[in-house]
Amino acid sequence: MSIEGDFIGDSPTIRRYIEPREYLKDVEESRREGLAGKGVTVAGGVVSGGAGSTWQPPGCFSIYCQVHKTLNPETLVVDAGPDTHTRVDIDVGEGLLPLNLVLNLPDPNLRVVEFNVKGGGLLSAWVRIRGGSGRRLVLKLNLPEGRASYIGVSEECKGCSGERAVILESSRTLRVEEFIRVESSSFRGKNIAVAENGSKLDWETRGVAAGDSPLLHLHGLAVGAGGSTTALRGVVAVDKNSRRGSVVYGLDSIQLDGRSLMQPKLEVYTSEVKEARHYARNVRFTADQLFYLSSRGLSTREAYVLLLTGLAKTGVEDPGVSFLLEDVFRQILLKLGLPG
Amino acid sequence: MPEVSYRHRLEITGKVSRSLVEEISRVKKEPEWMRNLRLRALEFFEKARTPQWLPFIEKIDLDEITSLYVKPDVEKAEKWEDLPEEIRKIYEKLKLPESYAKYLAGLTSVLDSESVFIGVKDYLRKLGVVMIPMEEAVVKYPDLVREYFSRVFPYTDHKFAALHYALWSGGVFVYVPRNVKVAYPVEAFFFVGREMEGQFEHSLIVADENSEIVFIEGCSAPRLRRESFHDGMVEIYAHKASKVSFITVQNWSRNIINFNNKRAIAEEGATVDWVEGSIGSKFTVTYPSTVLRGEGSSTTSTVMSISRGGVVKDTGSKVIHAAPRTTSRVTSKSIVADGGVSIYRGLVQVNKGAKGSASYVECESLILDEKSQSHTYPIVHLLDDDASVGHEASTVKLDEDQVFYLMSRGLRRSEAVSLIIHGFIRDVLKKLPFEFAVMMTRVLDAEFGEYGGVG
Repeated sequence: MSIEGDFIGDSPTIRRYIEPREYLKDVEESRREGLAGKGVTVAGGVVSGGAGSTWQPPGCFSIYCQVHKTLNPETLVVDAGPDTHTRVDIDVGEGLLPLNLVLNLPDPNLRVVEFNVKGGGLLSAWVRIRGGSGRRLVLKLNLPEGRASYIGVSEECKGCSGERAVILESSRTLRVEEFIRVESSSFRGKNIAVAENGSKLDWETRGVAAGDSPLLHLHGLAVGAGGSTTALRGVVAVDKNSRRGSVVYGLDSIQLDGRSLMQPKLEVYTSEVKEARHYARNVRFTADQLFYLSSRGLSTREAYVLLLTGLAKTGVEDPGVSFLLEDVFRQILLKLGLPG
Repeated sequence: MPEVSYRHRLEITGKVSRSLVEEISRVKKEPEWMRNLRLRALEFFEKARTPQWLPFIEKIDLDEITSLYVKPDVEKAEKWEDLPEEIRKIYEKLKLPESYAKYLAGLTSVLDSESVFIGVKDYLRKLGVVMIPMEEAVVKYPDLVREYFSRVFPYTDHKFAALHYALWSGGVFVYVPRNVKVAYPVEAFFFVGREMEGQFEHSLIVADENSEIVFIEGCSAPRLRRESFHDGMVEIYAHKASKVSFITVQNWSRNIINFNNKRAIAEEGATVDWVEGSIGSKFTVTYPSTVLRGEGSSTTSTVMSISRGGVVKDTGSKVIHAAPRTTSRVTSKSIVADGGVSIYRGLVQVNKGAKGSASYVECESLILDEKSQSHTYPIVHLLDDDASVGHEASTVKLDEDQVFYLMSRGLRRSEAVSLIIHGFIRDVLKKLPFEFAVMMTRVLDAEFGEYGGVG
């Protein structure tokens, strides 16, 4: 099965959180207004244009992705520099910015790449992550209030190992699509999605584990605050020719006055699996947990932050990734209206 | 079971159409409201789209199913000896008279499209429990039936539900009065005797306040050369503080396409327990569902499915938490081998206001060879932030280390594999009545003999 391969399908129980017709209307309106911003600027790396302009996103299964293709996005290549921190500012202005970004990670050092979206316009972007064995990445995305937007992320790992954490903070209607293919490789991914200010965030993942002894562990955490709706869903498949694969797909949800949907699907096409499991749970902290932490001198708010950051690290192996993730997540939590 | 032969009194054949539906209604001498309900359902069936998300849907050709109502040449009997010999022999082979005599309080048996046997023991009569064929209930208790029929599982739910309501025939109506606790189970048994036939039985169970009942549903069919189609429905209404346990032992032959629609509504403090043992059929689609409508109501759903040799089992369970402090637990175990496909499709939804609700879903698949597949599609939908919901699933293959260990303790390979398979489904077997657990164990041994199940 390729990354674009067919999956058995889904029952129609799930309604679409982001109505395609409304999205198309938004695209048309943004295109008409055409008040694009300054585009992409990079600090701590090098950006070059034009290369691979024929590159198309893999596994385009949704209407949002099809629309993205029709927008003829410009392709930019961002090479992370020698510094560990790369900052990519994307100014979409008040119009429409279609974009393909290829993110090159030159070495196995731990990298932090920050995508900051500015302006309330519509962003339709694909981010393709490329790197060698041992790559470790913390990807931070920040989208302020604005028009509905679309972001796709793809990453392939063939004969290598890698770990990636994505922390996404959004205050707008956002559709995220993610493709991961692991072939005889080891890949761990952690996605943290924070939806704020009554926004809707719909994140769909498609993962394939193929080849000999692939390891694909994907963990997601959705935080819905301020009446927001989060949907984390997807399918992880174990290829029929795969042997001794280890696949884990787990989703957690924290509702801070929000709604949540989780749908972790698992498709196993072979009995030659070492491990194939998935889980979904919403997390509620018990009075006992909070009481214990209060007895150790923490305020309720501090106790919540401690418990939540602990949850953010679930499934993360690399200590560096774990530390950075905790730090970034704590900063976001402190902005949110936590109890206490 | 080999092919069977018995006489038929009436057969309505052809494609699904208004005239055919009207003919069924006329033959059954139904009241106007039921005839109209059938026609409305037919209208919906014709308009509704076929669900394309089912992996085998393109292999189903409803036009192949030509016998849509088949009435055997037999009068409804209350004693086994009143049945014609050829029909009685079928039931004797299935050991139904023995089960009825030993431990059932009531038994109804549907052959093709009609109930042919209805046995109600004095114990059940004295308690005031009503157990009669569904069509008889439509005439005898019109107000009661009208209050619940198609209210729990409306025909607008999906295309095959609409088809069921247009063509339904046979089934049982059970009413358990207030404060009555039935200590012995009752059973409904469904048998499809011929190929290219459709069976559309409808069972409706109403448990009044503070009552209890255990209902067993059994299904079987002989080996057929061509396919037959089963599109049955179960509606359960559990009133305040009542308890209904519904146990299915589905052992259709390998030519049956099986759609089994099951749904319950649980009022305040009520409990609905589903146990599903899905052994046979070619394709099975069944998701026992419960709407927890009353505060403090609860449900459990235990599903076990076996898929071998190209058989597809699309099973699961759905729970809607629509009231505060409701609880649910779903356990699913599936075993796949020889190119079988097992699919778990489940939904847990916590509605706004269902505060303090809790749900836990656990599903496990055991894959015995490389040709087989197992897929899991759970949905967790939380519309209230004060709920505790968890879902866990895993797929495992037969662990050779475990087999080796058991063999090192002196067991033959076949015994070791048998022990592992039985251990895997132990949780489900514990929930079945003893006789059914023994039967299920035998079926497992026969089904997985080549993997070692016969010991």
